[in-house]
Amino acid sequence: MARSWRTLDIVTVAVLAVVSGVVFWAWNLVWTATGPVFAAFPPAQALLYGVWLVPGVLGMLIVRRPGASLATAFLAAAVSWLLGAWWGLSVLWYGVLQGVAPELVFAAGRYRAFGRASSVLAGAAAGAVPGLLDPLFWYPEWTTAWRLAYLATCVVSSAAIAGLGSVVLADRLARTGVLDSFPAGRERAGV
Amino acid sequence: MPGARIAARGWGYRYPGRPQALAGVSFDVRPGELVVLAGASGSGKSTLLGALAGTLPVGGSTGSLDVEATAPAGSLPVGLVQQEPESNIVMERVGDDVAFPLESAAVPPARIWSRVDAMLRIVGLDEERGVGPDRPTIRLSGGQQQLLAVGAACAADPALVLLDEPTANLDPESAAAVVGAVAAARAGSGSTVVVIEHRVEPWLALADRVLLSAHGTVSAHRPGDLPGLVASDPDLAGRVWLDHAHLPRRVPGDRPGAAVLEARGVTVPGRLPPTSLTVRAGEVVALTGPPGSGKSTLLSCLAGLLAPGHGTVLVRWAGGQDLDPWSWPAARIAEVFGIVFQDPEHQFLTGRVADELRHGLLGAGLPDTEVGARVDAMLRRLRLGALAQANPFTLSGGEQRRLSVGTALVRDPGILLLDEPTFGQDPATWAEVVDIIGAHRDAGGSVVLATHDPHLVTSLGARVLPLPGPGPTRAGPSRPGRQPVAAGRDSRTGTASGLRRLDPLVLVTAAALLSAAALISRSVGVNLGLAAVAVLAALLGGLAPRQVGLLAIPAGLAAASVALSNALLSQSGITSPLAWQAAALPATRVLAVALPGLVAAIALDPTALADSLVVRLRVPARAAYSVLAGLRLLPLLADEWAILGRASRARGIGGAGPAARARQFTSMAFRLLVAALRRAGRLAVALDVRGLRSGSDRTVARPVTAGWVDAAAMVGGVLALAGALATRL
Repeated sequence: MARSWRTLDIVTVAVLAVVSGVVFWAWNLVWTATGPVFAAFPPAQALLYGVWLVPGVLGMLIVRRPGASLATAFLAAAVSWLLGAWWGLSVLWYGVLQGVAPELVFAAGRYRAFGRASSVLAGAAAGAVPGLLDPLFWYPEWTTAWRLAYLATCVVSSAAIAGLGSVVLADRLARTGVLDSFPAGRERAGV
Repeated sequence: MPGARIAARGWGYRYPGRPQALAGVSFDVRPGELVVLAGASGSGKSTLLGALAGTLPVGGSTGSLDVEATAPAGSLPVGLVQQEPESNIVMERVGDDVAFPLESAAVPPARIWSRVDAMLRIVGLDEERGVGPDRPTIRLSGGQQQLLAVGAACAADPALVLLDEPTANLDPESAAAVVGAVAAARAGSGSTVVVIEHRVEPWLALADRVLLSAHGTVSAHRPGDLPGLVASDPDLAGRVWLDHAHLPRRVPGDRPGAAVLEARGVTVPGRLPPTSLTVRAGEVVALTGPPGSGKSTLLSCLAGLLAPGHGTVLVRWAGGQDLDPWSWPAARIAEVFGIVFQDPEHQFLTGRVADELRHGLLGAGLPDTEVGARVDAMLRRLRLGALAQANPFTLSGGEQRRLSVGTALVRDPGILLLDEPTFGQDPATWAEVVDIIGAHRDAGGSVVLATHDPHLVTSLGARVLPLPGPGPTRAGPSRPGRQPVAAGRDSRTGTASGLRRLDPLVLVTAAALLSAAALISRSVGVNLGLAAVAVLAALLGGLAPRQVGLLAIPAGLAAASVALSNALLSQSGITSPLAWQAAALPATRVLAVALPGLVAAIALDPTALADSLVVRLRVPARAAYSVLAGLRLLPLLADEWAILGRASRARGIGGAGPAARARQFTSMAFRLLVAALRRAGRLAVALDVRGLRSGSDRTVARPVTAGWVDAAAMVGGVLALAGALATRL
């Protein structure tokens, strides 16, 4: 696999981050609107969390270069900061960690394994970051049981949505031809 | 500087893993000539252009294609203008965009700005004409954006300027302005120019040579020979626009029937002045007017995709009580109207051409055999039979246009609404679209179309509703929309006011330090203090109190929600004061974490941040400016999200239930990704051609300075962090 980044790779990562920012903005509305549904048991709202962790996995599946997970997740966080998410700059800290976690999984596969298993694992790793940090910073009054439930929900949601979801998404994108300049697109073309 | 000399000798090219794209290409271009390259889409025009620009993957070529040019210091070898205006722009401000290639060519900053001013005068975007270097690029019309692209392509005195269908997306006046700008720019520079274009007519007077690509090769001709060649080759006549004398005509026969669709005083603030219109059965109405006059907006209102601010839309054809299409569910919209968007890719919902047509028949209550028969009939009519299993996004522009018209027609709707159906089409597709519209009208259907194309109006004998322009602004038509953040900084001196006086790196670092302090603090008092510092900095830094108030509302709501969530699950129970006391810490933490970042986000100038990263932190220029160019797409993609929402409704997607919403959300997110990735590809080409590829010795045209205010902000941030750490001891 090529290790050096082309201009196309950098722009693609930035553009993925921008799309994520726009989609997150819409997803924030969903998150807020569904708040009452989870009022009885707030940790269950983490089921929706996986959407925020898609960039770190999807960026790597498309660009396939060392650092792609970290770069995409961090820039996606920066975009949602610029869009004025109330989380403010703390999204940047989250963004870095949510990028480092899947990056480590892909690095452990020596940046050669981009299949379903690695992606699900990378998604789960990314999900553990907010699963651990959110109760620490924002919900210090929760009991240990709630915290564990929250962590588990985050990991499962992220493994499904960010992990498996990114594989499906990358595959469907490849079929449209927009990934023809990337390894993911060339594999599909069977060349 | 003399222009490039091009010599092709038996040249051919093959993309890895694909059939041969071009073979046996031989021609010569002398320095300073203007060459028009025409031919069918997919015939290899873009391959040849890519080879000249040096953007093709290496390997795969045979024979020789030599571009002889000298590139002295302070110049770039090639300038490029691509078809889609947005893909040519890499910076946030007009002046910075023209300065970019000069920076790549390592021109000293002192000389860059005089060159920028000269270039803007040549292409007609100077301050006397109401634009000037400080105008945000997002506030330019499509035509102005292409003028800017010509200016940036020619700025660094390239020996070779390449233009890939530069006027295909423009109205006739804007297209003429672009041709004029190219003529003016080359008069000063002597560059060799190669233009790809379907509409060769406006270029012929300037052209020294015409290259035709067909049957896997390229042949060279004299411009004067072109009419004869086109007349003798029907295939060529279907691909190259030369004259409009032989266009098919489908003028109406019968008089129109009863009114089917009515708009009374329909108004959308800022986008459409009060407009009334009655559409009858068996007629074609053409909405015309300059860019920004509200043609697409009116179409969306007529189709019930956009709620008018004032006025009413009534669909008489549908009968019954409820005549206002805005109040209808999406499925009913798709039943009554056939809607074709300007960009076909906005409305594709499936992964196969046949499924696109089948989707249009969902819910029509037809038996499967009938659905299959209708889909097959439509595929034949659109000449898409061989592509039935192909992915719609992989089709050529003309094929996509035919498919989008097919999806609108397959359900046999009463009213067809089409937005620029002939944009960028070759004569063959153009004639097919005219044919389909005419047939629909003659069968008693109604058609409303928004168009810049005067020939389309004449060919159909359409009734014209001219919309007045967006008012006589000094700058001419410019894109409406949100106020971008680019205002408030002078590129050439670096002077700015308020928080923008801070070096952007310092601004972000100080805000990050404050929010880090808030994350670790264990004191409600410290949290409130940090939030107060952020508000004070915003007020002293020049933000209006109202703006600061607006910032605080979502942060306040979030703080309340966190307080509630903690109190609810607290061990002491929600009624206990202890629970609320404990909830105060995370709630004030939300405020103190959020506010510094929100203030910094408003005050930040991303261009200055990229400059500062490159100059101070030695971040590679390629990384910093590529990311910056990608982030520039943010407002564009946000607008595109709104269009995708309307396109979904037009095709019957959407509704109130969670399942319908989830489906709409995923389908919109997917189409947004496709659109964004396409743009990424074109943007990367634009950046590489403007000299980012090598990226070694760049200059930075905008001064990067820092002073005592920056030092004070950093000290303040560090002190805040230290104070927060102290609360944990």
